Amino acid sequence: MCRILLVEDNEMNRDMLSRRLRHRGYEVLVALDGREGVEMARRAQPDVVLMDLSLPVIDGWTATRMLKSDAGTRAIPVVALTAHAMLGDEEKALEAGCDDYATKPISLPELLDIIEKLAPGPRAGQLNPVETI
Amino acid sequence: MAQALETGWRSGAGAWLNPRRHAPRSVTAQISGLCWIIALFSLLAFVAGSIPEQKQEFEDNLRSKARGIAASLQDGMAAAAVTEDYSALVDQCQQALAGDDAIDFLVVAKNGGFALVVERGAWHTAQLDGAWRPSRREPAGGIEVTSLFHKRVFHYATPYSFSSIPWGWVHVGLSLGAYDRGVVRLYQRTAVLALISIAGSLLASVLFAKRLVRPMLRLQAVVGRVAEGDLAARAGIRGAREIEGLAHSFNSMADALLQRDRILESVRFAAQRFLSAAAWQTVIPEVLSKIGGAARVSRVFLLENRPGRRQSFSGVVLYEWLGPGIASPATAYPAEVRWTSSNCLLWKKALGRGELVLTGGDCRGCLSRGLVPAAKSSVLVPIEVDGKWFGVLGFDDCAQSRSWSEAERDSFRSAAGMLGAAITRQQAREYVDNILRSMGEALLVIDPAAVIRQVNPSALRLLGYREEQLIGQAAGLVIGGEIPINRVAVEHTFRTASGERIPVLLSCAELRSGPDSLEGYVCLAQELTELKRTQAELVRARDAAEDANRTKSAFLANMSHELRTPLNAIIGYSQMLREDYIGPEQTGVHADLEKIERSGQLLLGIINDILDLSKIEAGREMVKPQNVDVAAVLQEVANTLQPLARQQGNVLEIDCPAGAAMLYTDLAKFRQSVLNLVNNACKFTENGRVSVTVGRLHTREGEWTEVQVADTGIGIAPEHLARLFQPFSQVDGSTTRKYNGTGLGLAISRRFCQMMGGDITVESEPGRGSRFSIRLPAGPVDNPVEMRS
Repeated sequence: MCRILLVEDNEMNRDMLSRRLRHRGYEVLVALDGREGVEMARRAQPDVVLMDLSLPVIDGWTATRMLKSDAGTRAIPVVALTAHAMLGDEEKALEAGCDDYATKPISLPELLDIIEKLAPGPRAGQLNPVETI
Repeated sequence: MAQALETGWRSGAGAWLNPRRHAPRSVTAQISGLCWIIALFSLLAFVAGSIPEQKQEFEDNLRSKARGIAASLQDGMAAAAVTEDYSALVDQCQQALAGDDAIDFLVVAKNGGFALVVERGAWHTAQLDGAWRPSRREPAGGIEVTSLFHKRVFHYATPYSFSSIPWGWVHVGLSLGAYDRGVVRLYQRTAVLALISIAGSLLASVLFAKRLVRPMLRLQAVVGRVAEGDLAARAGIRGAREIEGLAHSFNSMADALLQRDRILESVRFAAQRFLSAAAWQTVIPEVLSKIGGAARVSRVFLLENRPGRRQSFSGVVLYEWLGPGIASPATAYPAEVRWTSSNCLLWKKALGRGELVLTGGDCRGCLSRGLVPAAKSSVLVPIEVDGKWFGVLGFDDCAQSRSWSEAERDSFRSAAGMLGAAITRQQAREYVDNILRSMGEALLVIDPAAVIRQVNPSALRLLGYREEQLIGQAAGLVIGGEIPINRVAVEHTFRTASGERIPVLLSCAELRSGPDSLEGYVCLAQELTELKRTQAELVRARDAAEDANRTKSAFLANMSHELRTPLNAIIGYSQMLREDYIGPEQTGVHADLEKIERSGQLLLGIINDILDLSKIEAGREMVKPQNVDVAAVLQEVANTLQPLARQQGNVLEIDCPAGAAMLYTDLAKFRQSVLNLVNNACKFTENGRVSVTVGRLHTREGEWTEVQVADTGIGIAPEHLARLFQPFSQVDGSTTRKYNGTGLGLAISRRFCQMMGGDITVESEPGRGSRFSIRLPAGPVDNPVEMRS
């Protein structure tokens, strides 16, 4: 089962993205800031880390650098979730060690392609049933 | 001409006065010698004539005496002839001898040769012939030495006839004592007389000659003085008529010389004054007076030419000098004059050509106008200032018509020339002074020893000194520190009179009159206090603006984040609902969610564009060039926009073979620009064609790669083309509603292309379509190796 660590401080984005991913059969762990993300990645060893870049406590670039400099987490692919407005964020993210990036607002099909490419693995069955509103 | 005259005069004088050249005898010696010789010849002629005559007279006396003695012997002779008795004759002879000492001998000779010879104290008879019985029977007498007595006597012989029968001869010998004494006395007298005459004539001739030559010598002495420069020396007019004539001529020549000399002196005076005076106006009155006095004219005037009508000669009399005894109405100067006669126009032309004009009294009216009294003769000399006709220096004689000598005319011309030069020089100086006075910069001229030589009013104002307080002072008094000698302006400090230090922009240049003569330095300073204040204000304003800009940027970045985050949620949740939670059967909700999502996407695009533009304007966009395969970019763009094109019913064509064109440019900006143009083309075209072509272009500026995006859409009206690339300028309000978009895309794309060294241009025809061209520098000039790979 493919486990994704989503590091995102914005509650709505975190909730929305985690729900959509879970809905597609991924196990989603969440962290609210950079430090928590790094600690959780070490502890839980996810298959992919989705890293927002503007994070409190430790920002996404630093957190990525920390993950990539740590032998225990170096192998975990990191996908940066960048804001288009910050032109150059993508380059900075790749410099920091991210394996790929997805631009906000996130286009889910693109993100799924990236995840599939970086961490091919079985997911928990098919789509979860449609939640009722 | 004056030169030639003078030289001629000198050489003449040399021949005249140099006595060694011919070593001639003095006139006195010649005249006296001649007179003396004439007297001597006269005397000799007189003596030669009178002495023989005197001697003849003496002889005649002797002859008549002898004749008388012979006659007194007639009685005795007759007795002797009749009676042959000679005693009575002897007695008679002896008595005669006794009675007269002068008788030396008496001889009575008969034709036959018998002769009675009676001497003093004795008598005898003798047979005589020859001279005692001459063949011609005529009385004759002369001085001779007789053969009988062998002594020099006056021998007188006369024939004697008795009763008409020639009987014989009577010879009377008279002693020559008295005669010789008389002759000696005659010679003595004559000699004395001759001596007296010679001496007298010599004396007289010398005296005469001296008297004759004395005026000449006096004249010679005067000539000598004149030659030595005493032109006032004059010859006395007394002596022979010829000498008087000579003296007259000489005096008039000396007069002419003196006048010429005076005029030349006045011209020299003028030259000296004009050269030394600061302003020619201050010396012109005395110069005019000096020249006028020397030339003995009635009036000298300086007239400045005034440009007037063609048919008149207008001017202003600036200065006028009037000779002694010339009355003139009180005129205020400068006085305007205007001459209109035809003569005056001729003069105007001649003067304009630089010619001197001589006038007689023929145009009295011309000269009287403005100038009273009228002139009878005038010389008008043109004055040139800086190559242009300035005016006239005029010389009038109001008393008489006169001719003007060459020397006078030359001198007047010289004076006018010097006046012109003085005016020219002054005008040039005033021009430079005016510049220095008028300039706002402070000017200091310092000499090589850094002593201040000249300052301008601006410098005095700036420094708070008076001129005399600065001239001659060390430059260090006002210029702080070392004086920067280079032509480039540098910031420096001046110290004012009050000790205040003021910032100036100072540039000092070398002042040279030739490559080897450094005369000093010219320092030009501009006060910077005001500029500094302005600069400080500008810096403050700029800092404030930069602060504001930074604040704005931060605000934009913040706002971008703050706007985007909820927008992400809106878009994400609507997608999530649509995809994951709403069944296809709930069509209405599905469509509504799609509307929410699209609006979110649109809002996101607007926000992104505004942020892009603000970053460009803040200069925070950087170009990061890399090798770009144009075909790949075009394909990517086509892939992205194909759905839109299809949705509009358009055919999207890309004509660019893979690898056909390479650019060394900013990939993201290039892609965004192309995307923008193709997006617009698809958006504003319905059921048409959008074609993208790539070409190469040569212009004077270089090689270009051109990407053309042509459509068959609605086109753009000419009046909108100009504003097309302005931000928020979607061609009209209605299009915004119909076609969406902020109108920022073209502005951003064009800025991007300009940042990459190119541009975007557009051609369009409303209703027919538009053609946008992106032009970028062709080829990866910086990185050809990578380009090939």
